[in-house]
Amino acid sequence: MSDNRKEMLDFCLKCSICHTQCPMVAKNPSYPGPKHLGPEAERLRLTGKNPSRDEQNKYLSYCLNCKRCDEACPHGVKPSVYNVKNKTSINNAGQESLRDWILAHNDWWGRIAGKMPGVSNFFLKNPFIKTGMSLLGIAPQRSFPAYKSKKLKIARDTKDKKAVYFRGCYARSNEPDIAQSVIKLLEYAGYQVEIAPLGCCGTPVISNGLMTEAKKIAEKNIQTLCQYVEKGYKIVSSCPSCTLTLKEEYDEFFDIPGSKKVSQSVWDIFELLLHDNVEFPGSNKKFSRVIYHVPCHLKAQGIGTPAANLIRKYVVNSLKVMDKYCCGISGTFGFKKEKYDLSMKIGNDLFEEIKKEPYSLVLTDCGTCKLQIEQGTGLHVIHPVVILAETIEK
Amino acid sequence: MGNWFKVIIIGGGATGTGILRDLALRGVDCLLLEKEDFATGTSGRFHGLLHSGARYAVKDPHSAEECIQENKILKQIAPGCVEDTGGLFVATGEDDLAYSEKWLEGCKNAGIEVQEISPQEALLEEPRLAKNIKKVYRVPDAAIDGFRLCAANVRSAEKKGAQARNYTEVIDIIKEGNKVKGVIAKDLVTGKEEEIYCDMIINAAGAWAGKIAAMAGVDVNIVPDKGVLVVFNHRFTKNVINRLRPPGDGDIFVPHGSVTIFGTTSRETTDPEDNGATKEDVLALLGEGRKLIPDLDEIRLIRAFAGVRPLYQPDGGGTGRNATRDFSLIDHEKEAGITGMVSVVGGKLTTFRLMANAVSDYVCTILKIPGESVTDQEPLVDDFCRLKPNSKKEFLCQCEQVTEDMLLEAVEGKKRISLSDVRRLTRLGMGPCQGTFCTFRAAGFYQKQKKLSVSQVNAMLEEHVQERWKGNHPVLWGGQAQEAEITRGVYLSLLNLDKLERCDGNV
Repeated sequence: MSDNRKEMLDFCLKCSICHTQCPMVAKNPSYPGPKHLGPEAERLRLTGKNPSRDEQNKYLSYCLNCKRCDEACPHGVKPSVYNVKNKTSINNAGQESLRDWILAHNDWWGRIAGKMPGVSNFFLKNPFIKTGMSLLGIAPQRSFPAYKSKKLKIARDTKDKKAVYFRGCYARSNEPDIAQSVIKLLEYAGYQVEIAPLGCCGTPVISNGLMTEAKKIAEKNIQTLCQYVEKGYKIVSSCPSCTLTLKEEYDEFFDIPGSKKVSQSVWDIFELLLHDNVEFPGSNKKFSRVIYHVPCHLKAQGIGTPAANLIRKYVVNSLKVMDKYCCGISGTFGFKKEKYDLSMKIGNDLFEEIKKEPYSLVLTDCGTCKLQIEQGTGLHVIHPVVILAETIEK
Repeated sequence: MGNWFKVIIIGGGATGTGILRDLALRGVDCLLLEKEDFATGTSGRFHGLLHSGARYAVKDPHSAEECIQENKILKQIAPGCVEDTGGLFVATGEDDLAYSEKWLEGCKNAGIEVQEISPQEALLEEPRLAKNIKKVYRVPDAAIDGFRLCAANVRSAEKKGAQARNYTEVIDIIKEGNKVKGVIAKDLVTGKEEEIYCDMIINAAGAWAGKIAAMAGVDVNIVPDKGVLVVFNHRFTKNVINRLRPPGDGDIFVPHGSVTIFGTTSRETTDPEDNGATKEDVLALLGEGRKLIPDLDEIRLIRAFAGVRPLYQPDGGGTGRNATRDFSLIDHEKEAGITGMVSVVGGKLTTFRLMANAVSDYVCTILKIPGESVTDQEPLVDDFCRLKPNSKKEFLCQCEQVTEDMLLEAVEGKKRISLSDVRRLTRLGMGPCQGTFCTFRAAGFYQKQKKLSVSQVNAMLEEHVQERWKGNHPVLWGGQAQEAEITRGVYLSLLNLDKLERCDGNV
């Protein structure tokens, strides 16, 4: 097929199933929805004369890129792909585009702030800084994740099985305990572990429409990871958005040599543990009444809920798996001042579900889902790798 | 006098409405009668191509010359109906390059501006084109909306006091001896018949012109020639793409609004109402089309339709593609001694204004009406039923972005509401779902707004669903077959359309 993205719009049968699955449509009735913003608008974009183009483009920045529409389509259309691609065409006002740029580069801020976490955290809570952020268009109500640095312990022995761990921004700068847990689990599973010398996967840059920069990031990541793949490494990530981006998005948006090779070697940490039949005999089910929120980008990988399977088997007595709701933060979306309320509104169903019963633990794999749930419920949220790693005897 | 007009024009296509506008701008008291809606005949069933004339440069140089003149005028006076896409003539690997020399010569003689571009450049601009193309020339082709054009002619004429009645059929012509005095017209909505008198009848009934002439006892030999066209779901070229070879089947792609129209065929037929396409027609067209656009089968077809060219054969001239695209003005006084009536036949949509101009000049001379045509100067009233920027209303037809406001505007002053008429003005139901989701929405909207009865709304639904189906069934494979199953589910299962209460009136 010459350029199958163009034909994808021909596959849309207008059934509107995608609308019923869109969290934004559910909470924001003026949002045109995935079908209209995706294949329908794309068809009209080809006409050259479309008076409502600007209005449609305005809504593109409201797409959460949760991919629920892509999963729902019975006919293989991916409305989210159109939204992401066309976000580059949005002509934001100067201030908004500066704000989006700042948010899209959380990787940089993490590197800087991670060098002196105490000072950074102090400043992030400082009312003057908050006011400044608000002036820039960053939601002042939003709690920022604290920065934390930690020296990771990695075994130096050589093994046959090799894994390279793609940490992502959150596990590197905000919660290094996640990274340590992943390393522990991989070593326990018999892998020689190495940390990929890479930063951001590109998700926040892509979702803010900065596609040129995203392509550069993708090229660098693919080039580096390719070398690992050639040496027999498996690529492992614990962040669902990083995993999805490495598995699918590079291939979807950019034509970079080696991207197929990389995408086929990427594993979600739990997906790999399940695949390798790793057992945790020393564990006991010490938790009961635990709720687990399935992040949209984990769902979109189409690998089921491997974390839930392992947690249920070894750590938790009764686990409630919630895959019905999007938490509403959508990476940088929920940090934007004009979108904050909407973001919380979308997450509200999930918050209510979590608050309904006195759960002893709230789990989720995604760093920003975690922030959102903590903000919406006041409860502490934990990455499942942390509690699974705790079962391994030292 | 309510039932007397200076001139009665029969036929609401581009020619008839063009004459109405021409005469109205001269201040002539005139009436147009059309048995269906405006542009339901050939003027709404064609390629949507505003010819540069290049297609006729070799075989029909006079037509080519007229086309390029009119092309320039219409781009000026009807910007709301024309999209200046530009056009390319492309010689593929199997086309004879000797023809392109003759063609270039013809274009030069007709005054058509032609610019050669390299195949590489053409492929950059139109990546869909076959890689084996040899020669590419740029010409000033454009896309034109026939529905909007006819409606704009009517609106422009009405502004000057002329009248146009649709759904009014001429059932007979009143004669006194050898003099035509008027018509008997039947209002197809009320069933009322009425005698209307005039000094002159202009028969501009296109493919039906022979039938009208017969009512006056004269012969006009029209050979209806059927052309089948298909509609693709989206635009995949920027320019009109013509194949550089002697005119044949399946050699023009027109990016038209949100779709691409591709055709056509040329088959003699006996019935001017013969406007259905068959699957065989479509497959034959696609076979030709692949030579220009190799991956044509990957693009979803949403519809096929046919139009009937009203080719005029005075005394056994050529037929089909060999017949001239020139128009003929027949004065029945000279031909058969019948006064008070002229017929205008042949021609093509691109030259409709010129035809109207010539007919109006001729008739005004007979009727001794002073003045001359200003239709090449006066802009058309063509800004109606459009999506206004920042319209806040919800889209009732999402594929083609039709709002409630547009639906209301489309039925202003209409004696009956038909979704097909609304469609011609707004593009309601012309997108990929072919009316599946907008038909019931629009019917519900009109029911509420215009307080229609349940049986009226049912009839409205049924008519539109059937009309969309007619164009759907010749292309029922791939995406459109699946779409049709959704349509069937919505209308036959969910809404039980075939068992609904029927309207006892017409429709």
